[in-house]
Amino acid sequence: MPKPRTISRRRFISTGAAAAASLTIIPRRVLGGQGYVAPSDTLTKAVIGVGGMGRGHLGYPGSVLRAVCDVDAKHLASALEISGPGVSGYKDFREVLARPDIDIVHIATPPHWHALISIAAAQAGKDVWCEKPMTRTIAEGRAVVEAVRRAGRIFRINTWFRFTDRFYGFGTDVRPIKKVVQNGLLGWPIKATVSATTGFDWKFYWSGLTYARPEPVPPELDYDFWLGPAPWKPYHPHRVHGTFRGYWDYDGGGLGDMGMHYLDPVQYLLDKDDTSPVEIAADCPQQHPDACGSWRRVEMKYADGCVIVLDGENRDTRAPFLEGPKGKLYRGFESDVPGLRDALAALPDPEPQVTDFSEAVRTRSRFALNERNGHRSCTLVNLAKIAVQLGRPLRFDPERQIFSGDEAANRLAGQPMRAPWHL
Amino acid sequence: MNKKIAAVTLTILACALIAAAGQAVSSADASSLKARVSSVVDRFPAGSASAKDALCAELVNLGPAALLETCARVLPPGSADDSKARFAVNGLAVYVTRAGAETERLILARALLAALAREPDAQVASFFMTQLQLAGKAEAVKPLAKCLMDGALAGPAAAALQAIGGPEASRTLLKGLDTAPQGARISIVDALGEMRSREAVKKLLALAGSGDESLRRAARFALANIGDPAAGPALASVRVASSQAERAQAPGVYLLFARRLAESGETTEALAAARSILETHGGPEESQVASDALALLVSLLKDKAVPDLLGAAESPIPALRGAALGLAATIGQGETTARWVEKASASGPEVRAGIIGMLGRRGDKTALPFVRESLKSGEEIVRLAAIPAAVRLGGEAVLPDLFALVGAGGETTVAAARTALLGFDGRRVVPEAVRLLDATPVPGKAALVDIIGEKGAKQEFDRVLALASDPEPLTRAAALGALAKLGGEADLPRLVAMLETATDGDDIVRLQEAVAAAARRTADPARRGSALVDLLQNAPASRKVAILRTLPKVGGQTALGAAARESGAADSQTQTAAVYALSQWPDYAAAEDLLRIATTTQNKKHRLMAVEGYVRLVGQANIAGPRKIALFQDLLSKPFDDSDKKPVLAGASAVREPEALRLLAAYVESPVLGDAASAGLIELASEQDPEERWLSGHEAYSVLRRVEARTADPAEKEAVRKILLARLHQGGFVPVFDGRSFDGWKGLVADPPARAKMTPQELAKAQSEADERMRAHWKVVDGVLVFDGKGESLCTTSDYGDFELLVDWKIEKGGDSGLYLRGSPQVQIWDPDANPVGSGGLYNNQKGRSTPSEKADRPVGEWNSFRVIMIGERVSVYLNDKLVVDNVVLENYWERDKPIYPTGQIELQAHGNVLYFRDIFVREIPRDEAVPQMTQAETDEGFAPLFNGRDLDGWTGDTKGYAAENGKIVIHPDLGSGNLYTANEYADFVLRFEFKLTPAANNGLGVRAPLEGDAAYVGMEIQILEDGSPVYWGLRPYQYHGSIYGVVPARRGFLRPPGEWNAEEVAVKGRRVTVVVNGSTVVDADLDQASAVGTIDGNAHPGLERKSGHIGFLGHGSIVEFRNIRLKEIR
Repeated sequence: MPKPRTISRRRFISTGAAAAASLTIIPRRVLGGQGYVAPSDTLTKAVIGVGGMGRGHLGYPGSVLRAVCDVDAKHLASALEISGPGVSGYKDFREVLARPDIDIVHIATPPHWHALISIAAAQAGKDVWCEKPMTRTIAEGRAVVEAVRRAGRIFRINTWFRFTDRFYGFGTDVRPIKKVVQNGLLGWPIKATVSATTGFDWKFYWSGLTYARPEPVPPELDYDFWLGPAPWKPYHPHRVHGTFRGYWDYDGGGLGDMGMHYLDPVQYLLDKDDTSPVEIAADCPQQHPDACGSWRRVEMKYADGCVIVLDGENRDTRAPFLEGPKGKLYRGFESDVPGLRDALAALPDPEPQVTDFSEAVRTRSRFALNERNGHRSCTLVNLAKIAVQLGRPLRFDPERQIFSGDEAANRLAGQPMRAPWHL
Repeated sequence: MNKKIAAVTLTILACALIAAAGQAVSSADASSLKARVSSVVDRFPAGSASAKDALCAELVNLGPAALLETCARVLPPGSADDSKARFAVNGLAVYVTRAGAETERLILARALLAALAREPDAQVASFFMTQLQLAGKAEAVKPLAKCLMDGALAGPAAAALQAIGGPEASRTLLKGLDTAPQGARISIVDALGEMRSREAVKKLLALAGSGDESLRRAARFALANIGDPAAGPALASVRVASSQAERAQAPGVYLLFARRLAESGETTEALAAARSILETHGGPEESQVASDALALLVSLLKDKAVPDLLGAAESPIPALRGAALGLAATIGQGETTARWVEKASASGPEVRAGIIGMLGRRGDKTALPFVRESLKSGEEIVRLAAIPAAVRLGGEAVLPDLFALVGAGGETTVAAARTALLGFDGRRVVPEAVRLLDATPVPGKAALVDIIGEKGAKQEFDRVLALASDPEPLTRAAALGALAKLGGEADLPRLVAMLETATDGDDIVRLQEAVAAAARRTADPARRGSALVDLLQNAPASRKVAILRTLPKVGGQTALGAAARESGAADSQTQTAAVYALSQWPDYAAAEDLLRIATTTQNKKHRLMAVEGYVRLVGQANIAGPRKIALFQDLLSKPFDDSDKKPVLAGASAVREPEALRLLAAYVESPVLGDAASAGLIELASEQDPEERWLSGHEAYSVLRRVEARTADPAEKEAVRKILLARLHQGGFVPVFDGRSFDGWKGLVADPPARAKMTPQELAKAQSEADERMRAHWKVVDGVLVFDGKGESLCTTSDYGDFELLVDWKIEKGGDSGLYLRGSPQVQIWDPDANPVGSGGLYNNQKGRSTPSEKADRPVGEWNSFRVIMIGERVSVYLNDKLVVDNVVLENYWERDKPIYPTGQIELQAHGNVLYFRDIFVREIPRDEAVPQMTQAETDEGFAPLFNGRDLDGWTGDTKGYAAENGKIVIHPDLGSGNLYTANEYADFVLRFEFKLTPAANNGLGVRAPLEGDAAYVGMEIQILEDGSPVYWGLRPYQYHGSIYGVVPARRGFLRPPGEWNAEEVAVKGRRVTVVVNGSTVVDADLDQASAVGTIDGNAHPGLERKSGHIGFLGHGSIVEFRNIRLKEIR
């Protein structure tokens, strides 16, 4: 069968966004009522990076678009064309951040820019809606957490399985699954297996070219600005625009691009929002230093024995999604725990989450998936990436967020940026 | 300065390294070393970590010189494919950083440094430094220092030094700061900052006053990062001349400085800095800076910062308030909590709500009484904040308060209380909800019902059922929703009775959901739906209709059987409900019944429902794309109305297979279905995956042109055109005419031999005169090139070698023109009435054929389409999708004794009459590169070459028609057109080869064949065919490329276009045959299954029973080339 096409990908994203918008814990009208002063009546936004993913952000509900920004003049022109009057175009995101009339900045650039723009936006007093993966390295993630905290901004990552949307072919969102886990119906510790059976079939989607003849930079693209903090490499069209996901300098293949979608809800289910795994092991072919390749399996183990398995080959299609000493939970909400569904209803619901971003902005409440737990989810991605690149088992200290006994891994976890950019 | 000096220094190091390793450098040894390195490097990339380690160990064992040799194979980007070398070097860098490999690491680091020293290319040097960034240590510090002096290398060198770290690296960077080129100093300054080098402060302070803004900003940032108090004055102020951006950055930089001071224990200075920021940044625009300063105060003072926070918590600036409360949640308990409670009591509702939320988050239970009291506040914003805070602090103790809110609150408060109550165990909340139910008014009543339902309190079913007919809509809706959560099979009669009589639309939907949920909730999955189906028996029509409508939501075999049965019911209402139910079925199980109804019913409404349902189910079924299209094709062959066929066409457009294109194409000109077919084609073609080559092939182009032609609305036409151009572009076609200008075109100067004799100056002059003449007679009118009949030919400015050309042309009565290829005449264009032979022939050929094989012209005055493919000397021409010239050699008109020139311009020939051209596109076809070789991995796997690249040794049969040329087996149909077989016989094997097709080429791969007879029947023939050619648009699927001819159809659409090389693998193992074309599996078949009920072509294929035989190429009169043929036998 053909691989999923971009169109279905887009549909996938747009239904997710619509669902996110419809799930509101407290109706908006109440908060706008007596005695409450909104930061501004209408929230305004800018979208930075208006290529593939950025186009979707133009229409996300909850705020009014005021500015778009891209280092590719063609992308910019076409975004301006579809966004209608009252929207200005920029090449340099710093000019966008300097505009006082913008409340929210959407960041849909390639990941190697996420940290720098997130930090600059937070420092400029903007709230941030950032594409996944949150950051390209663990060090960048720590810097974003700190900058957002210090600036008191509201931050969200653009993935949503943690709080809405049907989940892994379970025919339900994540809440009843969380209920099963948090009420101990499966016991502890839990092993979670993420594979094509349970949704993650994107791992081979992005691979870089291991050799490509350099080509002239097209006139519409400011390639040096596009590269920004990334090392300078000769231009080839495959390095940019969509296919950039296949290069370690900018992202991490299908793992980088889609990993957070599937790992973040698992982290939530296992209640690991404040920690990270201690052991990481990957089984994969050797990786090219520049171009991301495929991988077969990644296992990440937490200190309490919980394990996340990324089964890239979908080797065991009958593997349970969650497995504990007392029982298993499969796709389709099947389980070997007798009477699971009936037992479930009476149990306490998980704590409600703030799932409407504009509400979060207006009420200054932490969004369900924010910089702190987002950083931990993205750390799962970044740990897996490093394990794939090094091809050897790694030990990680979740408190200090450094690897133990592997200097090379630490060097990959924090890479200097190209001047004049720095964290 | 000066890479050279650095290079010299490092070269000495490199020589020392090689000499130290004791490697003799005699040329013989050097060549054997190269060979040994090659044998390892060729095996990269490794398939696993352990394999990579083994390969790296081999390289390391070959000694330092081998590592240097490996590095030497990394080439400047664009010179040649060096990916194996890069895999190897990076593999080594990773390998030597494993624990306990310090000696090996040092050897590799030295090799990298030696390679770096002699590397002239900046990109390759950067690559080595990136590897040092991973694997380098102290030994790399000095050599890297040299690179700091080079503008292109300083950045990567600084990055590597920063990664290596330590005082020496830091000192080295500092030293390099003075001598490095201007641009590189920023990288160094950054690194010094990151390394917190206090030694650098003095120099950085000097740079912080630099006139160069970038450098100044970097220095200020680095100084802040280092956090030495000496930098305080410099960072506290901004230069008068500073830019807007620098000013904006200054507070952040100063804050960083303050934090670094705090980190290094300089608390007094840090506090002073933070307070000064708080004082100077009080405006709303500066709230983020103030928030940062506040955060710093908290981190330094902990509990003692509470007065600051209390002050900020009532700031008029919401952002600062939010920040203060966020910080407050993290510090102090007990006494501090009391101060916050006091603050909240004295504040307005908004501030109070914020503080209450914070009190909940910080979790100090002493705040509970206050929070609980706040639940009764008259301000909704306060109540809403208090609900989650009270739950967090009080747990079950606050249940009575929550129920009280449900009893008395407004809609919003009730909703929040309901959410909070659901967070508790059902055994605690259900009894109380039940107790309060009767006495509670809406909306609280609805919330209580909701809680009973959500918590699955089945024992309360009757109570909830009673409320399901409550006159209050809110209560009724909640009760109906709860029934879906509570009902079981035993409750079905009552639920169905209710559904039967319900009249309100919303009620009906909710009741259907409740009935379906109850029917699904059975202990025995095999019995799913049977309790509901039992109720159908002897039921009145109204009840049957009610039940049937819910069946799709129940699903399963029992329900399906019932729906199918009732679709034949006598009562027409029941029948319609049953057909509707089937049409809404959730899975493919209902397809057969729907097809039966669609083809047998006389009721038009039923037929349409059945067709739509069937199409939907086929579309979502897990069956192969071509099979779906075949099912749709069958459906379309039924005697349906056109309105029934529309949904089928829409369904076909969602199947991403070339067959869908073909199916829809047949309806484009249909008066009634043309719109639907066109819409389907636009949907199909509007996006393309790289592997969907068929969408950029000629068939798609041709069909989309037809869609474009029939589209009347200009905007839609433009949209179709955009799609068409995008597909062509993805297929490698470039527009030669932009529709607006003469960009890419020039006038004609003499003929090629004459032009060759001109000096560049003469040619340039003649060209500019010719261009002027050209502009007088050629015009662009509405996207068409129009020639007035009086000037000379129009020529492309580019020269072309091998290419595929698309062009549309139109002539008037008596018109005459042609296309010159590579500057030579010509593909003929003329009035077909005056010249009945028709257009397209290679008019000037004397030895070879000069006329087209048929007349395919449209009448004069109409547009015609040429597709011309020129590969080497040979030309094929399609005119209006008819192949009129089939691989004919184009003779050299200018110099008859020479073959046609290898490259040249394309010309539109002027012949003294009015001409029109449009839609001109060219796909350039790459000329053969070096013949690829079998890889080392294949040798290891057991593959061996089947063709030695030199002669036909090992082959038998038509050795005249087939020849070994330049590493390829080439067929010359004029010398023979038979079969070429391997001398040996093979049973089970994996065969890999590459092949290149000419337009409409036909060949075949004989497998397990005897030397005599038609291999397709007496053996097996794996089809080799340019099946995208219009010649073959009527083929049966078992004739597509890759098919086991007549037996197993292949998936189409993976061939590269004519003139390009394809890779194919044919694996024959026992009864299993797989064919992979360009990486996509097109056949995966079991021969027994495929022939179990006779073969698809209806012919006898005795060859399927053979266990072994010859492998061969089966000629069909076409030119085809094969290369890199290798085979692994499976025994």
